[in-house]
Amino acid sequence: MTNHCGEEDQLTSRFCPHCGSQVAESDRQCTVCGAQLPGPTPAAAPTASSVSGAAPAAGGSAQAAGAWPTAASQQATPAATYAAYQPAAVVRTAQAQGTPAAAPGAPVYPQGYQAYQAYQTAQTQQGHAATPYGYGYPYPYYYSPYPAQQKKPGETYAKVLSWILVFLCGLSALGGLVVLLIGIATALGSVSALAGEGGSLTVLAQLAGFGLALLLGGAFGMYYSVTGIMRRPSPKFTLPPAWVMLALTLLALVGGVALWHVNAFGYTTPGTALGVLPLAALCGIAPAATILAFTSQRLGDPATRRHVWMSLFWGAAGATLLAAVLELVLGVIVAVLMNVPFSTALNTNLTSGNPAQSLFILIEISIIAPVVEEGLKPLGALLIIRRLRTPGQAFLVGMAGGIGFDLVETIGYIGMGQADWVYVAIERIGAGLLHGVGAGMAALGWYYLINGKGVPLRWLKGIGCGVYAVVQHAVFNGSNLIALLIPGLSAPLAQPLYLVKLPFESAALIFMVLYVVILTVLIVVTGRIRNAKGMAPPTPKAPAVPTLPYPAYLYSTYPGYQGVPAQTPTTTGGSRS
Amino acid sequence: MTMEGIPQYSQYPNYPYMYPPATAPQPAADQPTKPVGRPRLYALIVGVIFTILIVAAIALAAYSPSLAPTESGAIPRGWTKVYDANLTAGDDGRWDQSQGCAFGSSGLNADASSSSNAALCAFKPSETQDLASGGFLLEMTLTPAANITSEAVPLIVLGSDTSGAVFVFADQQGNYTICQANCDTATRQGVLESGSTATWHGDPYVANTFAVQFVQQGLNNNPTITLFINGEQVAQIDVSQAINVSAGAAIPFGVGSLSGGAEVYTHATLYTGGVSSL
Repeated sequence: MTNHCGEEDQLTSRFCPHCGSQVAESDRQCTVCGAQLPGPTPAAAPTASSVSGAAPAAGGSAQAAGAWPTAASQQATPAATYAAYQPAAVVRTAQAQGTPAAAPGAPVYPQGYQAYQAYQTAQTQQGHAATPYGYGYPYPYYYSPYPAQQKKPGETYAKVLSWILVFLCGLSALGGLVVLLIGIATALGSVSALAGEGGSLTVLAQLAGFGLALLLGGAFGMYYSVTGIMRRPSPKFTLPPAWVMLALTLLALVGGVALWHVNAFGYTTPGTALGVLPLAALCGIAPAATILAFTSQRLGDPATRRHVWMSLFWGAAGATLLAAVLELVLGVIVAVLMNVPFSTALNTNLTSGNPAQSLFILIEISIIAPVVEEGLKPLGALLIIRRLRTPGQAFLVGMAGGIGFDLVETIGYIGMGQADWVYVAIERIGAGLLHGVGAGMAALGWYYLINGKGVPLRWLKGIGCGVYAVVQHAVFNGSNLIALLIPGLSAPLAQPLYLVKLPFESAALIFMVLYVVILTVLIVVTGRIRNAKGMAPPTPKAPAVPTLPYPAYLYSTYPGYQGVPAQTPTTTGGSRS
Repeated sequence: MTMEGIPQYSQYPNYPYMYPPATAPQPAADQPTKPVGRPRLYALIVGVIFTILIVAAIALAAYSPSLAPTESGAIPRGWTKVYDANLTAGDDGRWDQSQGCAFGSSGLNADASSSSNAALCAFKPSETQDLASGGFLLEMTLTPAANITSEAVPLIVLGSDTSGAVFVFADQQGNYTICQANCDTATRQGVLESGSTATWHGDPYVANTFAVQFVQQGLNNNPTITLFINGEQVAQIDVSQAINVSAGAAIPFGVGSLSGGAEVYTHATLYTGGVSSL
C-alpha cells in the first residue's frame, strides 16, 4: 500500500496516516494528533529508473513493451526528477480550463499522471488536458477534477451544535452575571460588605457557586465553541500532579480547621460570610480538582481542554439547574401519588418518625435523585460522544460533568454549615468521587452503546455502566437513612467524633467508607480502560473518482498485468469503489 | 517493488496512481495536540494560581473577624456584669418556671415542642427592677442542637403587654427574626428584621451564644436592639414602633422557645448600665 504520509510519488508533502494532516518532511511525529510517522520507504519511492531510458516512438503501440523505459543507472530525488519532466504547457492548459488550483492551506496534488515529456503529443485538444502518453489512446482523457473537499463525518452536526452552544453560552454568561449581581446586592443590601454584620454563608455560597458556574461556563463555552467552529485544535487537558492537588486540598482544609478552633474557643468571632466564602469554596473545589487530576493522569491525559471544560461547565450550570427542577417536579408527583403532604416534598428531614414520610424521602433521595442526576450529568459527554475516540476519553469527559455538578452542590452544602462550614467540607471531601465516577461510568456506558461496535459484550457493558452509576448514587444517598432505621445502629451513629475539637456526626463514617469503595472502583475502572483500544477515526465516504486514470482494459494489455484490487486503501482510510 | 496486493512495474512507476486524500487534511479538533513542554507549563500555572488563592483565602478568613463589630466592643464603659450564672448547676431562683420552663441537669429547659404557645422564662429581677432604662446586654449560651430532640429555637423576649414586646429568635440553620408581639413570619406581618448569619454554628454538636443588647437611645435616639450571635453583631434595629419606653413602666425580659420548638440554656450573663447589682 502506498504510504500517504510522505511517499506520494510526485509530492514533497507528507500526510499523517492517522489524521490525514499535512506534516513536514522532517517530522517524525504528527504535530496535530501526535501519531508516529513512518519513515520513508525507498522501495516505493520513484527513482530515475522510472523515467529514464529510451522512449518509445510517439504513437507507438502499447504492445511495444521492449521500447519502454528500462532500468536506468542514475539516481535522483523524486522532486528533482519530476521537475525536469514537468510539461509546462499541459499545466497551463489545465489551469486555463478552470482546474482548481490548490487553495491556500490545501495540499497541492498532481492531476493525473505527470506528463512525460518524451511522450508528449500534439493531441492536446481544446478543453482537455493533453494525454501524456502517445500510444494511440483515441479519446481525450478527462482528468478527473480535483475531488471536492468533503466534510468530515458529523462536521455539519458539530458546527450547528457549536453555534447553538455559542448562543446558549452567551445566555448562560448573562444569567450568571445577573445572579452574581443579585448576590452582591444581597450582601451589600443587608450588610456593609466585608465589614458588615455577618451575612449568610448559605445564601452567598449558593449564589456564588451557581452564578460563577453560569458566568464562567458561559464565557468558556463561548470561547471553546468559537474555537471549535474555527477548527482550532484544542490542547490536552492537564492539571498539576494529583499529589500536588492533594497537598493543596490538605492545606485548605487544615487552614479551615485551624481557623475554626481559633473561632470556637473564643479568640475571635467566626468572621463575615464574604470573608470566609473564598476559603469555604476552595475547600469544595480542591478535593474535586484532585480527583479530576488523578483520573486524568491515570488515563494518560486523553482528552482535550475543550471537551473537559465544556463538560465540566455543563455539569455545573446546566445539569444542576435541570436536576433541581426535575427533582422538585417528580418529588411533588410522587408525594401526590403517595398522599404525602405537599410541603414534605421540600423537606428532607430524616427524623420525622412518620413511616410514609420516611418512605417518600427514601424514594426521593434514592430513586428520583440518582436517576435524574446520573441521567443529566453525562449529557455534556453524550452530545460529543461520536467525537470521543477511546473509553478513557469518554470516562474523563463524563467525569468532568460530574465534577462540575459536585462543585456547585458541595459549595452550596458547605455554606449551610455557616460558622462550621469546615466540617461539611470534610464530610463531603469525597463527593467528587460520587458524582464524578457516577457520571464517568454513565458516559462510559453511552460510549459502549454508541461507539462500541465490535466491543465484546457491548450492550451488557453499556447498560451495566449506567446501572452502576445509578445504584452507586442510590446506595450513597440512602445509606444514612437506612442506617438510622436499623435498630441498634442509630444510637452509636448519634455520638460525635472529633477531629481535635471539631465534632462530626458518626454517620460521616458511612460516607468515608463509601468514598473508599468508590475510589477503589475508580482505580479499577481506569486501570482497565486506560489502555483500551479506541474506535477508528471517522472515514469519509469514498470520493466519486475513478479508480484508475485510464480504463482498465488498457492496463490489461500490459505484460505482467495481474489485475488491480477492487479496493485500495486511501489516505483517509476510506475505500474507492 | 511490490506494494500490498498491487503489482508494480518498473516501467510504470506511477502505476497504480493513488489519489490524494479526498478530504483536505485539517487539524483534528477532537484529538488533543501535544505541544511539547506546554502542558507542564499550563499545569504549573494552574498549580501556582491555586496555591496563591488558597493562601490568600486563609489570610482573608483569618482577618475577616476583626472587621466585624463584636459583642465585647458593644458593652459601654460603665456597664457592669450583674449576673453570671451556670444554669446547669440548678435553679438559682432568678427565672420564672410557670410558663413552660424547668431546670434540669442540662440547664434551663424551655420546651414548647408540644404546645401551641411559646414557653417563656422571665428573668425575675427585670420584673421588679428597672434594668432597661440604663440599657442592658443579656447573653445566653445554648446547648448544642444535638442535645435537643425537637427543633431548637432560642428566644429572647423583651417588653410586656403594656410597653409592647419584641421577640428575637433563631432556628437551627442560623436564620434569625426580630419581630413584634403576635407577628406572623409566614406573611411577615410584624416582622422587624430577619436574615441569616454566617456566625451561627451549624454543627449540631457545637454550642452557640445568643445575645441581645437594648439601649433606650440608640439609633436615631430611639430604643434600639442589637443582636449578637457567637460574639459577632448580626443585626441592629430601631424598635421604637414596637416598644413604648415613655410609658414609664418597667420593661421586663426573659428567654424561652417558640411553639413547636425547644431550647436549653446552659449559661446566662447580664450586663447593665442602670444598676450595679441585682
